Amino acid sequence: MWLLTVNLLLYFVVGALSGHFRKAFLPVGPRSVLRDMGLALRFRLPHVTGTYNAVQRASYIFVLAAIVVVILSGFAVWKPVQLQTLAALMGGYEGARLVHFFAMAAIVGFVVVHLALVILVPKTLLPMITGRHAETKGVGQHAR
Amino acid sequence: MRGKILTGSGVHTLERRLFLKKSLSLGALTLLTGCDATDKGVLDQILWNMSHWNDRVQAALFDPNQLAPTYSESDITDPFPFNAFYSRSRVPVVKEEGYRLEIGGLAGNKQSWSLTDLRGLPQESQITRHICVEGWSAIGKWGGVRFSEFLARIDADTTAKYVGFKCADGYFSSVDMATALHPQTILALTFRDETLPAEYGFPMKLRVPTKLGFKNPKHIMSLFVTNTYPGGYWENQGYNWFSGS
Repeated sequence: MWLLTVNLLLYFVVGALSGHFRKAFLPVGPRSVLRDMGLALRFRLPHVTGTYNAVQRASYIFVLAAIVVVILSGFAVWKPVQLQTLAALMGGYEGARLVHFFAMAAIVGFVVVHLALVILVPKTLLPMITGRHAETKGVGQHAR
Repeated sequence: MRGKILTGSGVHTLERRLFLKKSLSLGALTLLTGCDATDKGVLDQILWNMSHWNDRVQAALFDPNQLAPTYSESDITDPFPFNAFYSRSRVPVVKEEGYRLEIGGLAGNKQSWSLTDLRGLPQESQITRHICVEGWSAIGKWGGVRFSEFLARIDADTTAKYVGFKCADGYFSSVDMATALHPQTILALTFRDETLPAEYGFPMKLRVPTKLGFKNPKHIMSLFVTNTYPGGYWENQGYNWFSGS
């Protein structure tokens, strides 16, 4: 809980200050998401290293929101008396448990989709972890 | 060829270093295999430290004036779940006749209390949610003596850190003084306006709506005020001690 919270807060601070959020996540609209989703399903989505396509932008915003919700609902379940206003927003203790469960399920769903894509395109695994951009040919060989 | 040998020994060094450092994952692995007590000790220590830190955070979060939500009669869970570390058939049978609640530790007045004595004190009741560490919750109605009132009657040192409880079933637990003095912490003698049934803790249970269920000891035989950490049945096995809600 503490690790996830601190990690996310750090990420938000760095992301907001460095302009990463603005540059990487915006603009994103339903039309561009549908377009890129269609392209991706037909395996025709051009992959520009270092730039997120609209589906990526939407899903990253979605998973970040899910993590925020999982943390808030987690606090509500952990402290339903001290943080009862927060819990009340989610329909009380039992409501907060439901919110917590579905937010958790959303994160798991995101991870499952990610893993499925990694299995489809294994060479994305290393850059995903290191954050460095791999060359298109030669698995695990880093550019530069 | 040489490069390969180097790589090989490099891997070995890494593995040895990992092993010596007793990383979390290795500790978890030894837990799974159930061997190597030293590794288990290190992992345990990390987890205990984390739990103690959580105790401090919860004590800081605890607001003595924040009341637990209360409910109406129609919200009461029926039947209210029975829960203990044994089955219903092994619920301890305590006879009212001859029962005396023993007082120990930092209290000025250590006279013991019969149920009649306790029923003679001002009574109050509450309909609150009992939240179990297992995940379920249920709403019940408990009545009895406000615990802060009772502590005043026994002239307890309320600057002490803990109040500990010993129960007829061998269970024991303890709460922090701030929680003991919370207005909704009661020495419950009734459940749904009837004498507390054996399965819910006869002769009495500490009802603490600001803590998880296992911090609500049943079948209390004695209590004591102390500055020495008293632990508890589950707490000593690794449950978080403060467990506030």
